[in-house]
Amino acid sequence: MRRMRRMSRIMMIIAAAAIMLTASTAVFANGQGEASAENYPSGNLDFVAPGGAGGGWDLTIRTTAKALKDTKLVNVPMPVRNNPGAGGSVHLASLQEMKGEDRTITVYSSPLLLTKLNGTTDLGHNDVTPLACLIADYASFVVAANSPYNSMADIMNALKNDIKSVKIGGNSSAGSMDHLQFLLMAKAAGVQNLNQIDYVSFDDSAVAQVLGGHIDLFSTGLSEIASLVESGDLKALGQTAGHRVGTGVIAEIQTCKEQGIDATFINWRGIFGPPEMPEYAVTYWRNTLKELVQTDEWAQAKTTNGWDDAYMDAPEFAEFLDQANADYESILKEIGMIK
Amino acid sequence: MDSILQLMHGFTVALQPMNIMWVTIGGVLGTIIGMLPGLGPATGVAVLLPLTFSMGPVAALITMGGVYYGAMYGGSRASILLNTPGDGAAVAATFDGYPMTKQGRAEAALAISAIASFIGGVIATVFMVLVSVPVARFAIKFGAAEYFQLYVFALAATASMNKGNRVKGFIAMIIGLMIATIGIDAQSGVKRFTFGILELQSGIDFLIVIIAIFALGEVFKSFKNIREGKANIQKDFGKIWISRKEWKRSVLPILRSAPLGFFIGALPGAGGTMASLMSYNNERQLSKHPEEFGEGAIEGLAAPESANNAASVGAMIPMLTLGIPGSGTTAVMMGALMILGLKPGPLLFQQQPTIIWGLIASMFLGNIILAIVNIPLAGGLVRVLSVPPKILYPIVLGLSFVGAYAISYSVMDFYILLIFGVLGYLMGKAKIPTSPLILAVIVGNNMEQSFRRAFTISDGTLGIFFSSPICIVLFALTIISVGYPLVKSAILAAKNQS
Amino acid sequence: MKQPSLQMTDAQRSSTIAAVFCITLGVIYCIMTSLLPQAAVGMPNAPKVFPYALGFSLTGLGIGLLIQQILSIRQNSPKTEVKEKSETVTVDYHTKQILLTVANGVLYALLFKKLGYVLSTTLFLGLELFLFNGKGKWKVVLAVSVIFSLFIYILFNKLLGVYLPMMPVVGF
Repeated sequence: MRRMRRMSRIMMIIAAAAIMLTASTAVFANGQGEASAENYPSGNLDFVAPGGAGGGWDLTIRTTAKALKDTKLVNVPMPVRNNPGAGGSVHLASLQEMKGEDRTITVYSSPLLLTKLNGTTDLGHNDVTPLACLIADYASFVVAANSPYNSMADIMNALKNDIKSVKIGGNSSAGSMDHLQFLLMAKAAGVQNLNQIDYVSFDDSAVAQVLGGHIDLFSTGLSEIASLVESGDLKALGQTAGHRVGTGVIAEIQTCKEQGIDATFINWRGIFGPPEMPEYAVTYWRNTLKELVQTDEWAQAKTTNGWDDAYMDAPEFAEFLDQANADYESILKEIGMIK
Repeated sequence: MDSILQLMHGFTVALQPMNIMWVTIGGVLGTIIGMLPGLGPATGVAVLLPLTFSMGPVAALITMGGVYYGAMYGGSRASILLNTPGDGAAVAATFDGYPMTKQGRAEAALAISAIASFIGGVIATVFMVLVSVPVARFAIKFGAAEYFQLYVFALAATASMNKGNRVKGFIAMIIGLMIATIGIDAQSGVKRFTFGILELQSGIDFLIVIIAIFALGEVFKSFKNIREGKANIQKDFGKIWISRKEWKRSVLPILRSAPLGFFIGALPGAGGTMASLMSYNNERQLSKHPEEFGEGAIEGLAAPESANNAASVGAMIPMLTLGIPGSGTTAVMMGALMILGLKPGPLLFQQQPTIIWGLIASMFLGNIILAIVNIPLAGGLVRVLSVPPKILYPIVLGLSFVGAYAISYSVMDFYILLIFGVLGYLMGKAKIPTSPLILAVIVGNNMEQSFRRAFTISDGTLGIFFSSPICIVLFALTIISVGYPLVKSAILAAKNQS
Repeated sequence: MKQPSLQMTDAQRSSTIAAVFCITLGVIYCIMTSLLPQAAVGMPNAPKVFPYALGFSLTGLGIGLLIQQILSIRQNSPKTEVKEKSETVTVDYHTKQILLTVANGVLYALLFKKLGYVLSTTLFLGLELFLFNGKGKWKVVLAVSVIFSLFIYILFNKLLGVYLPMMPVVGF
């Protein structure tokens, strides 16, 4: 029995290697994507994570590619490459050179809007073609297990009494997601002088900082803290979805809305094509992704990663992006990060 | 005793023929990838991700582990033979490894590097079995202030180790720190010194600076020698082994550096580069003949090699016990684990003991296999030195450029490479040491950011930098490492006068 | 200035140049720091403190080095200067080679995406090998540069999945 399994594993790997090899030959054959409406997609697709290996975008696009392959929805090779830099802006710039092409598929999330707002780049959500929003993660706010704070209200009251009394930590830089999502909640809770709140940016080690008691509150993604909340090392005070999310300990985390803070924050992740992507390709991906989100494989991937379903088809997604952009802009104006 | 039992169980997992095969394949591939400049363990693991998706989680983790250690072994090969470190952790291997090659002792250098890596890796794995949880708990005691003190200590020790002109050592350090200020300032979101160039917003990757200063600098330096036929080609190659005397000199440094490397590796964000540089400084200060360091002292190669391999094992601790990636490579591995359906975190040891203990057992195994594979492999590699420099150096240039491209997929880095290559050459001419610059580029941003984090957290009181025993110990070490050489030279001067 | 102070050894000359360079860089860096925008969150000048410290330190160290060099030049014994002069010819050759390599590198960067990896690398490596070897060995030069580019391209694109730019039209 065991030997059989081993054999099949070897076979799978040989098959994978063979696919990879034929794939790379195929790209030479029609690398320039002269594919048309009838035979799309043919040849290699080009899946890109605009961030480094191991990050959230990388995980999303690789999971998507794996699910598309496992469900046989897409039968051409989908090699994933990384094109990191400046919060995804570097890839955004290179997408502008691929106007009208149909092979490149990219993932983006909130930073797509934020990088334009904070002046990193002049390019924004209008310079890519939205295909579908796939998943959402939400913000969550966690404290060390022995922290005196037990609810979002405790935090907000402390801030109202002394704006410097709670040190907020996050992984992204000031004015980016981890910072912004907390400010949105603080604003809804009626905290004044938002730009006086101490936000400390750690590269990617803020979890260790809150565990060690060096910062009071860690502002992060809901999916990132599951294992530490489950083990009891961290205490989650609230999350920013409009509803309870997930299963187990995650489902026990109260929303900010339940705690009387009338605001939500969604870190959507969606799939995009290059600007002016041809109509047949847009249609193909809208249909394919719609099918993908209904498969068991996708459901499985969502559970594993703690992602919430947030499927939106392209037109709805585009509207959503405009609205989110306006929300972010107003909060950044309020703290003076944009004039 | 419980962990010993579980380890035994782990061995039954790791010793399955398929898993032995995977760790070997991973190790060999990793070694090859690690030898290419710019491609370190993080890229190595990322590249093999798609392959591991088709395996079970145990086999995938074991293969990735093999790639990780393999790349650590491979990284120092290029440092020793060509002065071209593949990644940050291999920088320290150039300090004495490359001089050894120039003296025709490449065989001994390659051998000690494999032996030291092996011993460092094995010792660290033993520590991992015994003390991983307490170490992880201790590591989170490091807050912003402690990190700041740690970075200052590493920097001060490197800058003050310059033999010649001390002013020049500090000049190199300040220039390195300046390079590190380029990019978006995380605490405020302000863009600094980016000249409106998009690629500069995330800062200059220290690997580009390393490749430029070492590899390009070396090529630029060599033009004259090559023309005059001074550049030597090695024709006779000995056995890849070391003499008894060399072993005696190396054994203590190897044993001392392994625990140091293990612990530094377990600190999230510090990693193999810091570990190897700190162990190098450490040995230099403990050594009876510090003047030989940088001139081909074998212990100057043995210590960092042991430390960086131990650090690669230590870096697994925050990932496995807390679900925190301790380094770029473990971040990639964590991503892979999640795609495979595992949740790294404190409960992983309880929920998936087979996987974790299988991984730990495969670390032992991987280190043994890599040591066995690497010594004959080195015998072939060393023959690269028989290629005439007129052909070899242009190839080193070609490898440097493709390595730089592989780091960021950006042609902008070609220009940065050229600028720093020339800078490295000019620094050599003016006898300004390059290692303080390299370390400053690596830790500079973290050092400034840690300072400001601590400053914000303490509401602007400087007392936080001395508020914990860790801070005070690190501060004392800084004082000693700066003061000790001064005192020593003062005593020597006094002796000479009398 | 006295006559001896104008004659310096090679090492002293390069150290003096380095000192002047440091002072200049330090001053420019300080000016650039003063032009940085203020931070919207936290203390407005927080992003500038560390750069200012670096700028001032470098200027100070540069002045220190300059003084050190002037003092040592004054103590110069005329003997050391004689042998240095013979080297100037080769230094010029050396500088020329470096400048040509840099120019070649810039050309490489400009052509890299346009021509694709294989073509641009063959050209870059060919020119560089020519710089090292001279005209004589064009066969070796050609062989090494073509084999290297193809080998790396196949290794990276096919086996490692690190995608290097393809040649236009041909798609290779």
